[in-house]
Amino acid sequence: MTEHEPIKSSPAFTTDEVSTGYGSHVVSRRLSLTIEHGTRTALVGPNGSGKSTTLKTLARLIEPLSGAVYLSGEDINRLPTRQVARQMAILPQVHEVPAELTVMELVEQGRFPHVGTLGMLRRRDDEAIQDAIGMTRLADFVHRPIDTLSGGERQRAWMALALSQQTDILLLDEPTTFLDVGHQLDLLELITGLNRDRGVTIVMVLHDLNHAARFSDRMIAMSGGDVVADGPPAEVLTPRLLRDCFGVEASVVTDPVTGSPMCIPHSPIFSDDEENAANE
Amino acid sequence: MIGASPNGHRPGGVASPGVRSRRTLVILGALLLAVMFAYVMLGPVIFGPEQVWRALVDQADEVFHRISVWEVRVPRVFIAALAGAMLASSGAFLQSVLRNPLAAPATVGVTQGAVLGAVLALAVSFGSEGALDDLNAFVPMAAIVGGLLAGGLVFALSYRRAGTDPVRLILTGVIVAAAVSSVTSFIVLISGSHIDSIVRWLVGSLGNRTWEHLAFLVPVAVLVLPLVVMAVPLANALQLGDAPSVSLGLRTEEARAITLMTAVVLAAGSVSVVGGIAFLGLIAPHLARTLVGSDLRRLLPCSALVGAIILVSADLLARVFSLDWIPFWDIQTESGSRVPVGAFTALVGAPFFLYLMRKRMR
Repeated sequence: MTEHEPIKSSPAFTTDEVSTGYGSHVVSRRLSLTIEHGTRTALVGPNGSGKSTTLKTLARLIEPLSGAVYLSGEDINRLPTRQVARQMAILPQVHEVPAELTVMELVEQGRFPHVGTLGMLRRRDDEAIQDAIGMTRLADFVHRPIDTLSGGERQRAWMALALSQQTDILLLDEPTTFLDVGHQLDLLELITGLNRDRGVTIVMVLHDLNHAARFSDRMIAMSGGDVVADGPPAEVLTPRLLRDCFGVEASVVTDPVTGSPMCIPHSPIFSDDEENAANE
Repeated sequence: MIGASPNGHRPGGVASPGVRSRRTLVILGALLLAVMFAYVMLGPVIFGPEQVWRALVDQADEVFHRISVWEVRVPRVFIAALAGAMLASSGAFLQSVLRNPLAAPATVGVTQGAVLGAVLALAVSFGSEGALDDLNAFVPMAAIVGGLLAGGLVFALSYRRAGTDPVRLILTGVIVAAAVSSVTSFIVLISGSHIDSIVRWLVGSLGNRTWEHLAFLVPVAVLVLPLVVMAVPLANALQLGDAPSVSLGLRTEEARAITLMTAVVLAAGSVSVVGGIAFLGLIAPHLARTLVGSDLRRLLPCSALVGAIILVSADLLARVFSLDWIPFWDIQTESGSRVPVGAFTALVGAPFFLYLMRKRMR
């Protein structure tokens, strides 16, 4: 997908004993993960489990407290950040949109890591922008200010920004959070298509376990900053994981249409501490 | 719906925003030339176009025509245009980079710092033999140093560990602005009979501005121009937020430092020659945004043009409405100053800003 093929012999990501957190607050300790090129990985876990922090560390949005993250074999925090931006795009969770900025003006910025200091766009850049707009079906909206779009269209516009970077790796932090179920599936299908047709490596944090199971080929479940389960969705998504990790009694069945595992949560299990707190 | 745009391979309607904004910029440019020309023609004495022309080519009918046009109005109109453009550009950068519609040179303390610099220079020289007046180039120099120091102080005070962030920068700016203003107030209190020239710095004035001041302002503008060109794509990315900027391969702290420094130099340079003009740095970018949107490749030139048009028009009004032809309304003071232009921008700016807010927050 990019002009320069990265060194495929090295995994997309390797983390070596990475501890992450904010200042003195350590979120996860000594995490060692390997994520291969061309795969779709979903990071799942309850709130505060460290999945988003882990993604942000992979994305170099935060620096590890100790250890190192390697992108295609090179320390991501030592590579020139523009070079990283040509290999990896990020769809962050929260977006502030400047008033009056149009879809086209947003998507054009995806070429920032590819162009010179003056930001002049060439034919190749225009093609990448058109491709991104086509894939996200935004052709009719290019000149609309983003703050006038619906939630689904807006998320597609941000997705188009990431796509116009034309990277081999795409990181997404809860990309479906504010979308209705139709737009959630739409976005996840788009992500699946990128992986299937263009070999883009996907790492995403997802809250919806059934979506994670259906749209990934590897699920990493985190709890309290540690990886508690890691493997194909059918092995990770179990009643036991739901009980231990999420604190819910649940059954896991097979989706009759897609064949992927699907959980049906029944009731929350309160730990003794919480029950005691509730009684006081 | 798909129409060919000038570069051939970009879709868009017949008039895409790019084409439309280019047209807007041309119209604004023409408007600026028109108000500048009107500025040179109008005043206590009104000149016709050919009288202006003869004065410019040194063939004036009377000596005072040439003095009026060449020594007073021409330098002053260029100072107004350049200072207005710089102040508005500074505001456009600040609002985008700090992601705050209320950001402006005066809300982050740069205006106050520059004013304090000028006022200090004036106050220190009071009473001594070589008392400075507005004509001395030492005053703008002190002002620009004051503005840069205030901007640097705001950045340094808001810096923590890994860097700074827009909210902390703005809050620090407001605090520094207040502190700096109180020092200025103190100087005003002890300045006694010189209060008039100090107040004109506080309010912002183009009175007595001449070639000397233009000769100070032009190099500042020329020196900052490459910085402006470099800052535009950086500010464009930063206005999307910090995480998207990192994703795009921006070193956010460095980019923020470059863009803010550009804004500080622009504002300090402007204030150092015309004083603390109210509202212009805040309103001109808002007005420009409604015309061409938020992409700084268009917003910046548009803000500059709008700022120039506003300051030239406001000073034209200030000169016309100095009203010294009404016998009992003689605002002309000992030093020959009239109504300072800053009083007009504040008077017209405040209600206009309220109108903009109402319109945009429908």
